[in-house]
Amino acid sequence: MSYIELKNVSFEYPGGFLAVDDISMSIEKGENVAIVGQNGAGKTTTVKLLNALHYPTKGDVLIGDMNTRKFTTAQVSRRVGYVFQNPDDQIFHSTIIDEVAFGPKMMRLPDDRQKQLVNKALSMTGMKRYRHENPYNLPLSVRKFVTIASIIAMDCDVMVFDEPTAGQDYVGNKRLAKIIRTLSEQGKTLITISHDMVFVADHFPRIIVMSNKKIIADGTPQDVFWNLPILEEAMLKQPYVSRICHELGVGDRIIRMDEAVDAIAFACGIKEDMA
Amino acid sequence: MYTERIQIQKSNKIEAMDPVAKLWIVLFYFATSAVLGSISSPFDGYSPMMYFWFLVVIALAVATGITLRFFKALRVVVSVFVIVLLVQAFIVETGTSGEAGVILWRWHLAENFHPTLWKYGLQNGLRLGFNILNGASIFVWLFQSTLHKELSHALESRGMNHKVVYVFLSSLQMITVLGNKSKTIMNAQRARGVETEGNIFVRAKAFFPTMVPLVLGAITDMEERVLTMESKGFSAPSKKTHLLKLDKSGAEKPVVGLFIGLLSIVVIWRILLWVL
Amino acid sequence: MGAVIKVENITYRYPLTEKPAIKNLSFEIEEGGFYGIIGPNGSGKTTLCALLRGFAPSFYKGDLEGQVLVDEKPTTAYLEGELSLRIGYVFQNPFNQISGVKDTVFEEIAYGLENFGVPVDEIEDRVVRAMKLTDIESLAMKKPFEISGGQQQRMALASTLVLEPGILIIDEPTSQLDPEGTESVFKVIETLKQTKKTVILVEHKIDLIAEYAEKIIVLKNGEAIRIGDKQDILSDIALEAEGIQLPQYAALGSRLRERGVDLEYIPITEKQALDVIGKAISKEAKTNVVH
Repeated sequence: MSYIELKNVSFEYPGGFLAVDDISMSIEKGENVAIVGQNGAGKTTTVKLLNALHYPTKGDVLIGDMNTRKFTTAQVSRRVGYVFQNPDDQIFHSTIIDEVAFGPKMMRLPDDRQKQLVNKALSMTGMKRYRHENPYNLPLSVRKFVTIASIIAMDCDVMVFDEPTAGQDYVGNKRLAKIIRTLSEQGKTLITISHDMVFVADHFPRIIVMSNKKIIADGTPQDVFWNLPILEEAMLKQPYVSRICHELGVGDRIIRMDEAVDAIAFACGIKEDMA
Repeated sequence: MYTERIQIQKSNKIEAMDPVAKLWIVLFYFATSAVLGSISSPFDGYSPMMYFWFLVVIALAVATGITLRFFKALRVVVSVFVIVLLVQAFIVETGTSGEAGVILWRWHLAENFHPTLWKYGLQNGLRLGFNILNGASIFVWLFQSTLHKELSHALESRGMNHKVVYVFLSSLQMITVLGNKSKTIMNAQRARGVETEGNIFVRAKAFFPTMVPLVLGAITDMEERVLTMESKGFSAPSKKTHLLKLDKSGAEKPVVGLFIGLLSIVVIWRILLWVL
Repeated sequence: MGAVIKVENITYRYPLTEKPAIKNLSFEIEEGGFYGIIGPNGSGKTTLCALLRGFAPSFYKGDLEGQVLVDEKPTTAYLEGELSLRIGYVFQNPFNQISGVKDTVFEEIAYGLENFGVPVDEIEDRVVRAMKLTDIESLAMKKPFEISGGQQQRMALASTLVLEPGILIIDEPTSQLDPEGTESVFKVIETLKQTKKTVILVEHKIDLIAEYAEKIIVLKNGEAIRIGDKQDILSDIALEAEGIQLPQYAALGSRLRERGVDLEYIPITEKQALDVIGKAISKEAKTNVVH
């Protein structure tokens, strides 16, 4: 049994709209997974099933020994943290430190443990220097890191990020990648929805592709981004460097920039890394 | 032709009346109802004409061809009516203090429990209840037979400030938008451990976490909204045109005339009662 | 072709702030040009757009030194609504650009024309043209709030284009959209190039800027650190140190050069990359044959 199990799960909205159609997936503790696909493919509905924001209309969702059906969202939230796409849906304190401290406070952890978690979350997200600022004095893209910090401070086993890259710049993307790496090293189970194929290819060892309410592929970046029929079905594109290598017929299923540099340099007769 | 497809199609002539004519009907109906409510002396303190007057709005709804919609929308008002009537009839004993109330009916259920129907309370409850019922139902008729954009367009073309009209129309649509937004926010807060379901105390705790983002969000969105409206020439000094064409249906004069007639009769009756 | 917008040494502060959001900025926007504004978040891109359109200082208030001239006339000298017909503006959030008073996409797009008092028999044609240009004619009778984000953003574009402005400012139109929505919006932006409109586009997706823009303005901390031709600017690896992403192809090209691959130039688009890297590879193949 894996830590997270979705067994033949379907979800239908009260109006009768089917958003997820008979999907199954298993995620081990400590895995770092990305979910990709167009809007309406069922990505957000799927991750909302993980923390009981939705309950499956068919099938079961298991997180460790918990069947989400038997718990409220607030109860599941101690185990599965969820960073919403729009930070402004979450933030309601007038300083960043209060906002981040809210989760641990709700969990009634001992004071020094609370402090420790809040501090860790603030430094990991780079929000420490802004901690006494009003979140609304910062641009939206930075506010996103406030909500990320407030979920990290809850120290959940599983963390879900919904479109963390939307609206981020170069520095923001780099910071995000670093946070994901750090959390992953700490053994957290991470599930990230993203539209940015370069970001996904660079930072996630496992990618789940959704299209039309179903999972249509699940594997390494190579498996997914070189399976052209699947990409076409999901209406996704290869990362830019993969496209170039594909067109030029260079290398073996190239995904990342450094691999592409190696392969092209090799094709140009430069045998080894001169640098 | 899209311009034709967006026009309002109504086959019923009363439903298709000019919204302003409908507003006049609302006004005359209201006035008549008020006068009828005060005619109670020949009827032992009851105001039966007011109860019959309610039948007039039903007849109007039927004639407008919106019977089903009308009654559906009226359900809430009817339950308010019933509550008001029961509370008044069983609790209010008399209008003047120190005077004993007239008992219409008393039910000896137990030694210390005997529900009593009071005459004054019943009269009062009926008057109050029918005031509410008549007042609300004529508005239900108006809004069930008139689209918001129809009404606002009619008011704007009669010289009402377009900004006021915009506020009226957009707030109606914004209610749905804000409703959806608050659902999202509620979910976002549940996902971080805030319980939003349960008893009143649990819900009260969720008040700030949901209200603050909702209000702040509305304010930040406002800026883009205002500038968008500006870009669409909202405050341009030119005279506006309208794709929506509103023609009179022809039923305006007879129907409004009918209500003026009814009001006149009732007013004359009222005066005669005073004079005689 | 002359300059349609002239920015003359402007410094701008929002009300109640000390630090200027824009500092000592001067440049000109040529008629028919396609300008990409890039830079880190908080570098002043949106503020600059607001200044070009005159929203700042007229709406945001604040303190402006220097001036922005549109058709040789300062933005502050225009009457309310007057600039809307000259400069179209598309915002980030498609949702906030819906008027909230119209029942169909068709009426939503027509709203601006109604406000400017365009005769009814002229409106239909113009709206249909705008819907065709933005590829949303099939949605004409749909409710504005019930179409997808990408479709809403194209509706916002149509609502602007219908007023036939000569200049278009588009501020991060795709930051809230999925890849499909992004692509659909950029398809429209591409067709705009052929209509000879002057386009000013803020966009984080640098690879799309590399594809569509001609001139680039790079902002950082409110100052323009680069202004010029996209080929020169987007191929400059030094920008990465300033916190600005290079197009993937430019980054690839620069790294290949560092590795000793002899590239004719640094590519910034897919087409260029295929061309220049392809040449480098086939050159090597030829030398091998000679040896």
